[in-house]
Amino acid sequence: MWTTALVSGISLGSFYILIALGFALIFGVTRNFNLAHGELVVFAGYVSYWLWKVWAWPFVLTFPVAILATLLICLGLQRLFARLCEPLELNSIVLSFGMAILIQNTMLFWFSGDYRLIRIPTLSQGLHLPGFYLSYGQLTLLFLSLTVIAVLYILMYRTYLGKALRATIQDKGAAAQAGINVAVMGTLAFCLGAILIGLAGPLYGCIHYLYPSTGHEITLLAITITIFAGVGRLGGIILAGWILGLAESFAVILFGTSWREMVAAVLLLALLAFKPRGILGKGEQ
Amino acid sequence: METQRPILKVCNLNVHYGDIHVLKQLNLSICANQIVSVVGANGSGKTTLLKAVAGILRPVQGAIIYHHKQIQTLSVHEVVRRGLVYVSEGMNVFPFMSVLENLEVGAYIAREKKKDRLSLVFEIFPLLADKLRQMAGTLSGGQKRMLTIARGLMSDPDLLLLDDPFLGLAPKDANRLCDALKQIRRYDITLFLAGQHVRRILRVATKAFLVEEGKIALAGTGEQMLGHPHLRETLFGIVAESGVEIP
Repeated sequence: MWTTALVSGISLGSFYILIALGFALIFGVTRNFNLAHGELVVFAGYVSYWLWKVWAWPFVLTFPVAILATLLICLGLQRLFARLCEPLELNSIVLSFGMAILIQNTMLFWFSGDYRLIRIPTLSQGLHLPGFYLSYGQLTLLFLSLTVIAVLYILMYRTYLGKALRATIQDKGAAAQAGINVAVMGTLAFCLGAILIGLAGPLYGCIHYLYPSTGHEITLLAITITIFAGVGRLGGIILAGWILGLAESFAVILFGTSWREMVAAVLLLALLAFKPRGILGKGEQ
Repeated sequence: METQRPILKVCNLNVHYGDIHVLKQLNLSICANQIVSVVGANGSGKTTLLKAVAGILRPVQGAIIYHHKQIQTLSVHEVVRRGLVYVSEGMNVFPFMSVLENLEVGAYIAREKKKDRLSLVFEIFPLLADKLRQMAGTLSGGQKRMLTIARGLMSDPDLLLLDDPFLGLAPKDANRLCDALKQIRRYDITLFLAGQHVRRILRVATKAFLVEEGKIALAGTGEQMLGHPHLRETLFGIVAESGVEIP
């Protein structure tokens, strides 16, 4: 039972990381607090669902279309964010809140309010190993999330482009003085964010029912992990995602499913009380 | 030195902060391989001048000509790509990146020269070579200052603009930085300094300007300026009357 909780916690945590990375990247580089993040994930899920269910596309092939759709919306959103005046964080909250409502109602109009699930029979089967059970769905979630995290980690820590992105997150002015085009970094952050959203959406549709108003839960999760990690700390996001995933998984086993969301809230409050600079905040000055 | 080619010319520069007219018809020129210092009282326009040259502030009127081309309309990163690098007065390192990563970001536009620039930087600031893996946010104030200048050097500049380089440094670190600045000049890099540490800044300067109310009030060599009665009265006036020397 405990091993199952551990594996499922890491699997869930890895998916949370995937969800939070896009939000944290856009917020870190552009200071735009995108409250429509969750709605975009749900929208990508719907695109995938529709292609898979109505047009009978293989599930894997729906990912590129979902990514393309979110990419177009995110680039449009970036144009709107670019017109905002200071204070950027506050103004972007107002703008993206409006966008979230717009996307929600568009989804309600196009896809109705019915609950939808991408139910792939193979993914519900699983491996019965000594001491624990792992469904192919969880395994796929774990594999895809870890692959994306690894690719992003290599991009951010091993390439000049990634270092330029991290530098822009930490000090935009100093980054520009090092010859980095911070406007291009903003566009790049939105593009990377859109790709992450486009990947997360279909996966979300596999493990969670899709309905137009579920986006705010995802946004809240992304905000929680970003605060947990400390803005601009990619390593912190990975750690925070796994801690949250494991905590939720163990809470379900120990106290029941109703405690799952409570755990995230308690962890966030505890962190804000004891480590307000984020989970890896000790090196800061 | 004056017979050398001028690399930077500032012509009739006017810069405003909102309604405040900070630089008023300011003119100056800088030749290659000089150490040029700008001194002046608080609010005289030293930092504004450096920021306008670096592309951070947009002048209302006037021209900034660098290597015979006007650059006053370029953005900061475009100015850097032309070899003109500004190091601001704050110790703004990238705190969650290692010292080496900070230097690599400095070499973003000069990647092919990274190895050469790193050896130059370690020759001038050997202390940084011992702290390559340390997070930049955990360095001391003096070390952060060295790192910001070293990061500027990594961009392969022709002209390095240093805003108040001695700000917040202990005397020992300030002396070390003075030596480093003289060393940087030997690598065909022109230095343009501004700041409040008048004596230090003028002692290293081969050419200097006194800025008063947004205009150049005096020009000369560093030593000439240090002995000039107007500068002594303007910047050391009150202290000179009491007979106390400013360190």
